[in-house]
Amino acid sequence: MAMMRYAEALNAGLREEMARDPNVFLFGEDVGVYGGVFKVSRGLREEFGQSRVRDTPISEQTLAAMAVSAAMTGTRPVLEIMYADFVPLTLDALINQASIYEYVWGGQVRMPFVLRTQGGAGAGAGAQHSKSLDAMLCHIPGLKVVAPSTPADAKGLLKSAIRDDGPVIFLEHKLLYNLRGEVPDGEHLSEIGRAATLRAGRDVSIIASSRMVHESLKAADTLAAEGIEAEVIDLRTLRPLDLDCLTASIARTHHAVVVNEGWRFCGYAAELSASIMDHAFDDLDAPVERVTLPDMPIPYSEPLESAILPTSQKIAAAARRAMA
Amino acid sequence: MAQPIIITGAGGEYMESVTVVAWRKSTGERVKAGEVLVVVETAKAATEIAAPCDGVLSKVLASAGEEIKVGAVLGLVGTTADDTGTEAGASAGPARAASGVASPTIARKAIDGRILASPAARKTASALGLDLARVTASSIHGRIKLRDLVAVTPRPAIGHPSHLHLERAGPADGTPLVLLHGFGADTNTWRLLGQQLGASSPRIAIDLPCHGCSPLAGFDSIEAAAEQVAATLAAHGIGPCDLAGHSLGGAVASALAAGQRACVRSLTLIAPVGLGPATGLTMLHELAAAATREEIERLLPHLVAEPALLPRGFAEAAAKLRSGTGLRQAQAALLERLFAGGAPRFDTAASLGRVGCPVSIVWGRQDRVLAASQALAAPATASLHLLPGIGHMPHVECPALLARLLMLTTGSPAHR
Repeated sequence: MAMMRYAEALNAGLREEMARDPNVFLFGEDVGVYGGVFKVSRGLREEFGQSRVRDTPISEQTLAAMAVSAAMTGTRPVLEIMYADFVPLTLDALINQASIYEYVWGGQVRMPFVLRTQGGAGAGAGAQHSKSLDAMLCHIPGLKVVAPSTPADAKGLLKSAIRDDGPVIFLEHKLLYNLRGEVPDGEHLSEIGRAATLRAGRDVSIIASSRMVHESLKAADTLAAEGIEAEVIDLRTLRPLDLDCLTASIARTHHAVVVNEGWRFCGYAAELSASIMDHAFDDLDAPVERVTLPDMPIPYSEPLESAILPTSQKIAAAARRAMA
Repeated sequence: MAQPIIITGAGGEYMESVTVVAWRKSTGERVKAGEVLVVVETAKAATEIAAPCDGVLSKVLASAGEEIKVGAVLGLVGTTADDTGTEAGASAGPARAASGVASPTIARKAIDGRILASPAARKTASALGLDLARVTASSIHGRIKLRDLVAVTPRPAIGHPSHLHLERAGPADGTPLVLLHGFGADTNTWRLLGQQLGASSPRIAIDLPCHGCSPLAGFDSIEAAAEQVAATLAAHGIGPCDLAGHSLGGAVASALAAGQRACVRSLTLIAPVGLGPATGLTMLHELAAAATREEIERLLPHLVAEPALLPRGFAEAAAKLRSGTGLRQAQAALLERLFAGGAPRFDTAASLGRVGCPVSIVWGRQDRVLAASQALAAPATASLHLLPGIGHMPHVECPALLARLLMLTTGSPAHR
């Protein structure tokens, strides 16, 4: 086990996959000479050359179309979109090309590309650079969407995403890049579509992803002091959803709190809640509690921003409501 | 002065009368303001009528199935079971108008007469054949939850391998006092206390696993023992209770009150284990092995402050109850499991931190098994009673005093 930061783990994952497969190449704004604005691709241009680590102009729509074309012609592109807020510029390529081509051409093409991006609030980055658009991306059948919460999963899931033969959206969080954690040595792959139970508990299942996992773990500590034993599940993959993990947990705890940093209405938490009701209705001893961002732009003012963000206190309060 | 239980425009102001579906409390039972007493049905909905004040359900004036006028008095909540007097002579009955009294709280109103219950509670009730109309919702949301079914779960066949032996004493009605004995003892340990408690409340003494007439299989954790007690209470249909435990039984009682498997109204701990180190472990090992009057008598100076003051024949009776070889071996093994390395492998203080009901801790100042100073590890909300001149067995050494303290904690009307 090596201790490394989330950004370093991503960097190691990229390096290993590029060394392993000459078809893997990176492109995006400032990923080359600058090493990425969050330093995820630092040193890779020097190591693998500028044909495999390409700086591009600021044109997300074109970049996504390039990823689709390159994937169709047999390479494994890894595209970085600097902020998730600008992923909507790539949606035509995702909705009308990447997610449907294998289907409309009867399996004659594969679409092995990864779109890396980072989202999330809490950095005072304002309404245009703080969003979590999980729901918008998870809405599209044919895409896989992963969102690691730890350095180990950052590396393991990125390597799995690069090896996947379909399009994978890889959601990082700007406040996690400096998070330190242990990463297994050697070849480390995390299975896409598999959630992890990070803390066992008999009373209530708290289901979260990305940075919200850490808020949920804090909430579980608070709740434990009050005698409520919370189980914390890190989804790791947002789509496909690991329903078996959720339903097994709720069959034990009978209470669910779903947490997502995105908006509430039509949000990812709403989908989790509905899926739980579809598959575990008779196990529920209380309505599913949702903890989300309110439906509003993310304020630039840090006091206002922190007031609207889902926090461990809000998660604990939701768990208490469920248990009451 | 008793307060009338009344219905106003339950479920629709145009209604003239309602039908009593079921009483959730019986005459003589203690009730709290806002607690559901009775369910009535109108043409549109089942409505719950809540207690207007704290007290005892002293009179029921309309029984299940009866149709009565809106505004009628359904029953009375008095300060005691005998308190049926009202300012206007409400015992005159059902047609009295509802003026000048607190309006009842409608805790839970289901649309179309449906009872509000969680999906899990509904599924479980259906599987067990339980009638949800008989279940009281404890949730602040007014919804029946899984935990509410415990009180009405039918009693399974006796002899279930994990169920514990229990003995009942005292009156049939009222909130029972559940008693959990200490290590090496059994239900008989409560006899002297029982004489003092008399007819104050029903009593249910339980033999812990590996003790008395309960299965000899031990337990690996205090929580596991608490779970077995909870399952036994549920199997016997025992709902809300006052709970008291001595020594090891105190630790089990704390775990039981801290969990959600039983509805515990008050907790009295008598020299509970688990608040600090056990100093008398050697003595406990000797107790586990003790089978004769002489062996017990040798241990008495450790257990009580003044062995000479114990009732005659105490050691002989205790020895008789410990004559089974299997029992002694099982208890010795249990001791090893629970106190591996000398320290208790459980944390009663942590359990107490999670207990929401009133907690009293009673400790003999001369306790030589567990020092009374351990009581200081209890949360600030617990009341402490430190008894001078008493050892580790207050229920045997000073049963009358302990009975008074118990009734103070349980709020028994006889001693308020």
